Amino acid sequence: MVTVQRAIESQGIPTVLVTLDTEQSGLMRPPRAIHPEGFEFGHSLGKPFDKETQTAVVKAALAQLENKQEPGQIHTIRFSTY
Amino acid sequence: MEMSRKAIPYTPNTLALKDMTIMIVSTAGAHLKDQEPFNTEGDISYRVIPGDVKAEDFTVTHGAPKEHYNTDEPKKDINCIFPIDRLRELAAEGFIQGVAEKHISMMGYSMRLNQINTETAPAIAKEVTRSKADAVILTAG
Repeated sequence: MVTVQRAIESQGIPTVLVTLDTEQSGLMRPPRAIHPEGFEFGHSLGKPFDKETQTAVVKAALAQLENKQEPGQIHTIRFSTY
Repeated sequence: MEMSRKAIPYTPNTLALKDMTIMIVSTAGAHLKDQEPFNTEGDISYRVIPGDVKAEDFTVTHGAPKEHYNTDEPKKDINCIFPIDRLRELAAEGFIQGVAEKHISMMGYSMRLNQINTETAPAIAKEVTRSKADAVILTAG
């Protein structure tokens, strides 16, 4: 996933990754990334029909685009509604 | 271009979110029911998802063991892993300007990393640059 992210980013398009696999993604050093803490694979943005959490995760990810980054960092964020 | 792990490609973003069109690129194995499913033995291909797609038109094919990635969940609601409706709502409320006219989906969990590096990733990057998207949100399972 980070491979694809890096390819897009190197073409001049900003990206942000939502990852649960912090070990693998961390090794690959993503340009911008968040890690929703404690989420399970299958609902990395929130459980089915949990619109509130899904929206919060998408907003938190997109917000990284407006924040100046130190590339390679993964921002772990806790979502209390998950 | 050969990419090293040390040098991280990073494109600074100068736009405000309210002025940005966002595209989804996902490796969670989402595809439309009438598109060819991914090969669960390993697949380096990708599917182009039309921008006007409905959430209920999706299904998910992924090679990861079910105890690791339970695809029953995103089959109930694709927004679990491919947040198309959430982006549309954010566009409607003005949080972002718009949602891209197409999105890209592939299946992670492929061991053919060299081919992904040399073929799939550059092809996807080309799709993104040809689109009018200002930025990409990437999601996995």
